[in-house]
Amino acid sequence: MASKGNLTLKSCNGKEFIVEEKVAVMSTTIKNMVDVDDSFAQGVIPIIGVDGKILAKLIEYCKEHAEADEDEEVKSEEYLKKFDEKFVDELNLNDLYDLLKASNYLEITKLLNLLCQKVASMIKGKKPEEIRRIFNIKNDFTPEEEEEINRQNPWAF
Amino acid sequence: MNFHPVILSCLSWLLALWSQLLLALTRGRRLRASRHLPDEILVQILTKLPAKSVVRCRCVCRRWKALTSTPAFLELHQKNSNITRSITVNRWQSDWFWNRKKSTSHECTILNSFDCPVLKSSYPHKFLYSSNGLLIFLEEFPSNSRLQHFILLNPATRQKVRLVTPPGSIYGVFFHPLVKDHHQYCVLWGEESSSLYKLLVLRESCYWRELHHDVNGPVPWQPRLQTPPVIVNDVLYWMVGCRHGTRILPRHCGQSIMAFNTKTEKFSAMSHPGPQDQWCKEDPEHLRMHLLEMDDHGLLCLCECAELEPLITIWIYENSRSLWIRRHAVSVKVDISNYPFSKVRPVAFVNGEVYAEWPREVWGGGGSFAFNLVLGTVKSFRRLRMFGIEDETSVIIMYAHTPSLIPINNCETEIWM
Repeated sequence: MASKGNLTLKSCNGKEFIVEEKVAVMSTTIKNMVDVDDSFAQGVIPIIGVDGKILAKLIEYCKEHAEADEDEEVKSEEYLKKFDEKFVDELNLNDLYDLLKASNYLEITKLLNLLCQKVASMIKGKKPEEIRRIFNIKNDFTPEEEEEINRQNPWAF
Repeated sequence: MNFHPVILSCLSWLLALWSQLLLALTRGRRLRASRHLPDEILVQILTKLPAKSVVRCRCVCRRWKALTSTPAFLELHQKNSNITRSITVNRWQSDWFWNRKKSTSHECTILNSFDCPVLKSSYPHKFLYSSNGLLIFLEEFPSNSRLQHFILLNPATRQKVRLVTPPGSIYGVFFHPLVKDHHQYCVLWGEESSSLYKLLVLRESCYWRELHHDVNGPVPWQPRLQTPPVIVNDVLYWMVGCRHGTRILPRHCGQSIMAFNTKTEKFSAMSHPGPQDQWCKEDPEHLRMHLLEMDDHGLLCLCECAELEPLITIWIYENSRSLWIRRHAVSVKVDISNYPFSKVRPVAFVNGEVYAEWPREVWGGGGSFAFNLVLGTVKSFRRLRMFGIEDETSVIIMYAHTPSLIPINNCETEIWM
């Protein structure tokens, strides 16, 4: 049982995390749950479809940002920027995908934007075949279609 | 080396087998790794990309192609790309373009250059301007032709359309406000003698629609040559031009700026700010005055370059009172001993800086610089080196260009009036 001001989040594989409420409500979804139903604030909030590893990552991010929102002097904008950079740089593709899905579900807008920007930067400036390789995407165009696409786009490639 | 065709076909067959085998071996791993992102997240990611990258993404797979082609995607992308503007440097009568990045250093990098085969024809093309993501060209036919061929080209989607009209000019290209959810390009055209105006909505059935203009109202004079209109809050504004072939017609200062409201489809006239004095007589086209949009704030502004000193005055148009307000007077820290400052051409506002250009003939090679609106500090850009494709006859002009993924139209490539 969490003490007052703290919430308990439970991942889909049963791991429990006790976090401060201000950290947890960075997620709009959790905020709405807590606002609507007081019992959530007392008990355990199950986070469906998010495993312990990803949830720990989410909490790590929210902690830094919640503290920065509260007191700008403790953590400067520059510090947060560096933190964000390091945070996304350390992720592998699977974690990136899982975090994207989790932050979308939990509506952590700041994090979602950051992660989308990261993926966009991985795509930018790359050729289609490079993009397929990075993201493990199968080319499902027929040879005729591909030829048509190449014919349409003869320049700027 | 020459191979017998039988050996060649055997080889390619072996190769195909090999790749099948590789595919089978890696399938297990692939299945595990190929996690899918939901469409809504993927769309969010793809709208953050520049237009050129989006076009490339369309070649990745069917799903990506479908996601980046919906009207909703295009609209979202348009909203995002309005924030990031890039500057395009173009050359007269040429089939080469360069995108130049706004940069913090003094060096500009060439973002991309492209060769447009669509423009290769027996006639040269004069580049007019860039408007709403489209590049507009005029094909220079022999002068005895009574028809004009304009070419609208979207470099991001690589579509083009040719408009064949009687002598006249394209006043501007905009998105029709009444069908904003589905962005559609719309072209405003005016006849040379300034008595007939037509509107073309580029969609599946392309047709020119005549505009009824108020005979008692102001005459919507043609825009100055090679000057793009400024579109602010669904109104097109342009500086009136006086050149009529070789003749220069006098115009009234009170009608030196024209406006076309794209919602009501009405023309109106405005006076330029400041005194109407002897400078106006000597310069009836008001070439020292340039209309711009203030940093995407939805404000129309006019930059006026002083004749004798490096001073730029910036006026803001206040719509509610129909008044020009003097906002800034910036003393630009440049050396003007070799060229008249009045020839400077402000091009765009980018993040509180005004991007401006010196024409080539007055500054040993044509240069560009950006100055800070408050401080007047200048960062000048070194002249681009163009790998031997640059010659003495070429002129480099700078235009603001916002890439757009909106398709021009879905049907014809040539539209006759």
